Amino acid sequence: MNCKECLSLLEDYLYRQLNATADKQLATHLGACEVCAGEYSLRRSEQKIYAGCEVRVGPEFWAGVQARIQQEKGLRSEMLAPLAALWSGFRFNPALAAAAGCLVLVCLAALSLYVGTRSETGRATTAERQDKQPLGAAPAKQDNTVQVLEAGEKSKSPLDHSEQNVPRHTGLALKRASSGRAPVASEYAMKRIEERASGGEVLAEPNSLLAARTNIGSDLDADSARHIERAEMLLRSFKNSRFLPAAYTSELNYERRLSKDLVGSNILLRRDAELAGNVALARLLDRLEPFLLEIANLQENSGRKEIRLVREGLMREQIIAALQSF
Amino acid sequence: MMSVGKLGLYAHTRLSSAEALLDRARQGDEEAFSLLFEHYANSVFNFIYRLIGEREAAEDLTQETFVRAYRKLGALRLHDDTQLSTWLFSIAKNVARESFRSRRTAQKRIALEDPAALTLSGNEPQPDEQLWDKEINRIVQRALETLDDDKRLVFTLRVFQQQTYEEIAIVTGFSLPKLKADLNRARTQMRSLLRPYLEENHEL
Repeated sequence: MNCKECLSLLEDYLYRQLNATADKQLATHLGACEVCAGEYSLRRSEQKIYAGCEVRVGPEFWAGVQARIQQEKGLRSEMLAPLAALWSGFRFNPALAAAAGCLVLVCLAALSLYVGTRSETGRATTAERQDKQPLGAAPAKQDNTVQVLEAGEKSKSPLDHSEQNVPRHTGLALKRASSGRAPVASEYAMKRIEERASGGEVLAEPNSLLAARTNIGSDLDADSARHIERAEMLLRSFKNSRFLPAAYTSELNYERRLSKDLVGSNILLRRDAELAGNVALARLLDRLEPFLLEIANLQENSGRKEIRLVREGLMREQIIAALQSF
Repeated sequence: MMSVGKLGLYAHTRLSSAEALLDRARQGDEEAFSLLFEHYANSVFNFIYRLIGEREAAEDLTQETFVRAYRKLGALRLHDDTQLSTWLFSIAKNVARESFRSRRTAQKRIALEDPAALTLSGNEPQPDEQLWDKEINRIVQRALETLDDDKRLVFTLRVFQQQTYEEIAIVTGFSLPKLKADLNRARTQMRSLLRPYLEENHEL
């Protein structure tokens, strides 16, 4: 063995990671070569220093991990309890299985029959309308969206077209748009989204985060965007609240309740994101979860120290910025 | 608990033991997971502590590492007995990096050209053994903070955790030539910073 080989294997020799043959060859070389022996001695001294720097965790350390695992387990079992109860009552019965199979077949047949009849009726009605329509008249509009917009236009005053009557929170507008309860809002929201998609107008309102997020890409759905927005508002409020003694308990209770709500939806959305392969969203929700858990698990009589710790964690992880920039 | 660390004479026994513990932990047996924790907690904690440099933060991040590990237990399949440690170090590295990125701006780094930060005062009385350990620990940590992220990661895994090159490559995702070069540079830099204490150590 030459010096170059010896030096390249010196560390493995020091950590006893060489096989017997190499170990023996290296030991022989060290006995014969003063330079390599000096280097080996220096590395041993260094290693002695590094080994002396080891810090050990206390026996109470496991309790912290266990508590966090229990929290997570508790949340999971709470969410899965109804399903588990259903499953526990289930016993396999061949007769029951056959009956269930027949029922499914009958339902499928009925469904296909219904769909077939409906399409036949639809075709017949369209043909009738075309027959009755006077020559040269515009064809009837069949698009649902357009019909809703028309209804909205009929029911509202001319002032409703103005920008002043448009809701400032486009997130709310989107929700209304999906529920179909407020045609004006839905029209506005759809218009804004179309404009945004075509790269025309930049959203003017600072509060219209949800619409913007929904529009960023198809991989962020409205539920996730709304969840992220709610979580961001909660964390921001928690970080900035002063929790004055007079309103201390009620404010803290509100934050805790909201956080509990968000933990459940966070877990579901995270799993959905993982299943859908949306790594960025899954990672963000994964980072968010511990904070929601910590806030949800604050006690009513939590002192300022506990709250400060959570806040420090928020600032350290910069989760609010991450949520905002997502 | 039986060791599940390095390859050796009882590697097969250790692998089956680790597998058995993992199986039990996957089925929700907390005692099995606590045994795994007991075995790896110090290594993971030291690893994170060397990367982060703050004890309290390192404790939090170690807890986070094990909670994440518990969450992902179902996805882990063991092929050899070193895989468990590399898997845990990989999680720990990600946890530490996430935290480190957010704290980077606040972290006070010691400049290489600031020798005052790395020297003991000559006027102070000779420290006893405990104080000496504390002092040397502080100096090593400060010297580590002068390394860039990649070098510190590689150096910590090799020198403090005594992982093999192959294991370090798995944890870091670096190629062997890169991690060997990083390790050499890191060692040279650390040696130059610790030289006075090395001589002291020889004398002791």
